[in-house]
Amino acid sequence: MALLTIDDTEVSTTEGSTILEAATQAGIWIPTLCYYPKISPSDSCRMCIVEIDGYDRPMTSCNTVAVDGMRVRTDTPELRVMREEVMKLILADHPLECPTCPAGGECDIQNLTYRLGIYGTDVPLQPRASIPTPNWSLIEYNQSLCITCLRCVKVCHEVIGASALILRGVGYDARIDTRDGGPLWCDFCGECVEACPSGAMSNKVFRRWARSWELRKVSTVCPLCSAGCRMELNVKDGQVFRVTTDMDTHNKGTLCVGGRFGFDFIHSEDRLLTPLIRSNGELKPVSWEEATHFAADRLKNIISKSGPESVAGLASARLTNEDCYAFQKFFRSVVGANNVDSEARFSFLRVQRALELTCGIKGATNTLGELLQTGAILVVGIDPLEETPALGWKIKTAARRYDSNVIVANSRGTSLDQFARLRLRIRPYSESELALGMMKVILDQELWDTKFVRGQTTHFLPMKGLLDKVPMRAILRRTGVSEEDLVSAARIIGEAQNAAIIFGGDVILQETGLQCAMNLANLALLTGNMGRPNAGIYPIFEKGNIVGLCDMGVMPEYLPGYQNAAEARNLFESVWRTGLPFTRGLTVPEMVVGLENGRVRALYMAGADPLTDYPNAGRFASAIGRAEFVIAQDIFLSPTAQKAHVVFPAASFAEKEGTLTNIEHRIQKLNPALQPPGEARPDWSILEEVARAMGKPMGYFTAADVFREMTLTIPFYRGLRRRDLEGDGRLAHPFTDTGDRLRGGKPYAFAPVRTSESPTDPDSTEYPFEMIVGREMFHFGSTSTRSANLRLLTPRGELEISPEDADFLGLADGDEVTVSSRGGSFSAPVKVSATIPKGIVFAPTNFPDMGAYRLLQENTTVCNVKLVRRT
Amino acid sequence: MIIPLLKGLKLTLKYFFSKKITLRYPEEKWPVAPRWRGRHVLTVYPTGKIRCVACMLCATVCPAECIKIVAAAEPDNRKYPESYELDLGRCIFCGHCVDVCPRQAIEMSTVYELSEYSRESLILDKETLMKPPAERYVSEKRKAG
Repeated sequence: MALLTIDDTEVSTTEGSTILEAATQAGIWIPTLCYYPKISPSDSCRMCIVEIDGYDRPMTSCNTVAVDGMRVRTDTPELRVMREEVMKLILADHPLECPTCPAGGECDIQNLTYRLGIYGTDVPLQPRASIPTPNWSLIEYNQSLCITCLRCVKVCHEVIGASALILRGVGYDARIDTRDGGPLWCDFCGECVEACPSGAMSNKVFRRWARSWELRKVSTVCPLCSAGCRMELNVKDGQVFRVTTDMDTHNKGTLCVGGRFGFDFIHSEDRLLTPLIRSNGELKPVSWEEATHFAADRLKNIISKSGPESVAGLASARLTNEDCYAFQKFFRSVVGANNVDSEARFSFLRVQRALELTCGIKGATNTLGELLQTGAILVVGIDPLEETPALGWKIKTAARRYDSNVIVANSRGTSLDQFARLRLRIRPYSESELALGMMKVILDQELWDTKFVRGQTTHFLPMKGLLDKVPMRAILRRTGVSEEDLVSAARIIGEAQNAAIIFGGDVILQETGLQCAMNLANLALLTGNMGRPNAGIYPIFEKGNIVGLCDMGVMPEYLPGYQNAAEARNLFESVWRTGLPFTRGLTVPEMVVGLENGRVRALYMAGADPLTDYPNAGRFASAIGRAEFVIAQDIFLSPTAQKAHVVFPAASFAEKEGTLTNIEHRIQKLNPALQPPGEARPDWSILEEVARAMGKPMGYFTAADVFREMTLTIPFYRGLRRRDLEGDGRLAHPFTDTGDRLRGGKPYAFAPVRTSESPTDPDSTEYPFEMIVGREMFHFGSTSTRSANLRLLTPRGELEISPEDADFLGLADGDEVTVSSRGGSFSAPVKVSATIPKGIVFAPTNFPDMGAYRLLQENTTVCNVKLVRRT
Repeated sequence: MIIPLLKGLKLTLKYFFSKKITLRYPEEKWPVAPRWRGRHVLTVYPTGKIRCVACMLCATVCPAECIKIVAAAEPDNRKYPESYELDLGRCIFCGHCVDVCPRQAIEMSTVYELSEYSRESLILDKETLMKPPAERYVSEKRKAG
């Protein structure tokens, strides 16, 4: 605590905070220009000068630490003269183009001149020779408006870690430029635009422009990835013009390219506006009444003939919690079957199962913010820039500002490589063995947390027995990592006070993802990094509301809130006032088999696009062709919806109420900013409409009704009110009761260790390349490929190939190739990328027209392919 | 008895031969002051390009909220109004929009004959506002007569 006097006001502040921070806390205004709360102070603008008793000259308050007993004056005639002098020098060559300046109305220079009462300048300086605006994508830099305060450079370097911008030249010629002087190619997070005090850095997609004071800011949650960053939609005349942020949020006001620029899919021309019914092989627009009755009659017909088990449903992580809840209720109470599933079957459910068995928790054990203070972070099989950029910034900040030792284990180069203490270029598919190898080293070198393992875990000895049988040589051969690297990685994790383990899509999407996640959880338990702050395990998956989707019980195994039908039947029957089905329900692979053999006759899809998003999409495509009746509700006519018999237009995240759950189990509220376009409706209301037409209404009139019911039935939602979710929302963890029979009375249990054989393809001579599928850097799921802004950065999916292989095949950037496996083929342009190791090609799954998933035969993300140049 | 009558007649005759103050509107019109606040005009450069830069200050300052602008920017970042709607039915002809305009892009003409048969036709779009207002009733009457 430091007690100081600022302008005759006693101010107490925490030790180490600056005078500016202390003054801001006390509500005393000190003018600033180059100061930006997200970054370290630059003290270059001299605006924040204050007089301190005992100092013979004015001090910059942004970087002077407040000391006990200081007497500070922020507003004296001398200071005012100095500040005016500074402002006049800035105004000398700052064009007063305020009426057409994009920053007008929220410009720090404008506000300061107004507040300081400066109306013009008498400094006889010539305006700078204007340098042509560089032709960058999405972001525009105007040198004549720039005051070189370096806020953009520093935020790019310190917060985002992209370090794409630098200051070039000195004096009058000083300007912001890219590192190599060429066009900007960075993460395109737009933080430089948000940081800029003037209009020098501006948002290029804000073409259809509006003034800041006209825009209504609606605080909502970004639905594109599972980090769930808070953002503000800037709305005018029923249109979102841009996205801004508030610094007082859990993501500290930082957004990635998806949040900042990817919102415009909601205004895409492809949006569905009316319900469609297939007649004579074509989808034709009809009225809501006709469509719902058609759907309801056909569903009723099929149910009465073949029983409710012949109807299956697929939901998606694009939906809100309310939509997911209504979807599974529709199936369980209106249709009368447990046949609900989603893409989580191939991804997140595996991890949840693994973490439930070992740690008794259904997702990340700690919050994202805690990552900053970790001693070591093991990042396995994920490039955060592609999946959840918000996580990447946390890791980068942890590595640089808090000296956390980051280990990156990936089969490709990642954006985190330059921040890592150790990079392990493992072979695809060998993350599981890497974890085993590290555990072996940790046990050998006695680095494990004996006290934690003895006191809080069980099944250690059986696990160790199995682990001892795995030879080290096999692990090294399988992972392709040198023993030296493996030992140093194990030492870093074993010796760290707190270590966090983060794993992502490459692990989760594997067929053996369950085993892999269990091995990683074993590693966390062995080193005692569980159940305490700034440690733990974080499973990361790109898809927006994947955690909420699982929480809402959109799976055959569990009712909402991971409750077994055997235990919670009475609760649900009393709340829903209907019976619950007793059948087991079908998972996605079983639905595909059911469609093929005719046992499943109708398919209801809410937001799901299996042909783009599911592994083994080729088989799904032929199976869906055999379905008698397919209903799809989506915001776009996706490849799957094109095969449907009835299509309902759904409302996007900006047009509906609801809640989303992010990867750290933070439940946040969406606030509607717009009216749905055309006749589109929120998904829950479409389901209610169909249910009513079937004669079994679910009793929902608003999204709040659904939420209220969720608080009655889901244990970790109990007592939650919607108004509690304002702001940063609430963390609600679905902890499984500690000490149940799985874990022998202790909170944690080791999982058995198993190694799987490396999947070898018999046709490896014919198909020489291993193809990894993953996510494209600037896209999130397939929804964002409808965003014109993001398509500007990546118009179509590219096949990434290593320079060696490209040389061997004589391919260059942009050459069209046909990629084929035994499952199918697609064609795409080639991109030679140094991050890809030899013998491996990488294909993004985001693009529906590319359909990389069609090539995959099993539930894996790896398959063997061959490349043929297209002529 | 005749005296009051003559007195009255005198007054009548005085006004009968004095200069008329009424006007045969709409054939004849009063000359209006140059600062008259009549219908708005969006001014253009000699090249025919609109002067308005869509800074929204007129729409912001308008107390009657009768101006609605949809702004756009050209590729070289020059801003212009994609549409500019002014609802004369709401306008109170205060002239704040003219005062606030940083580009002298909106001015008020001396035209005051603005009656229409429907409320919708009182909403003027950008193209109408860019053209100088036509003198309407007088010319029509002349045609008829």
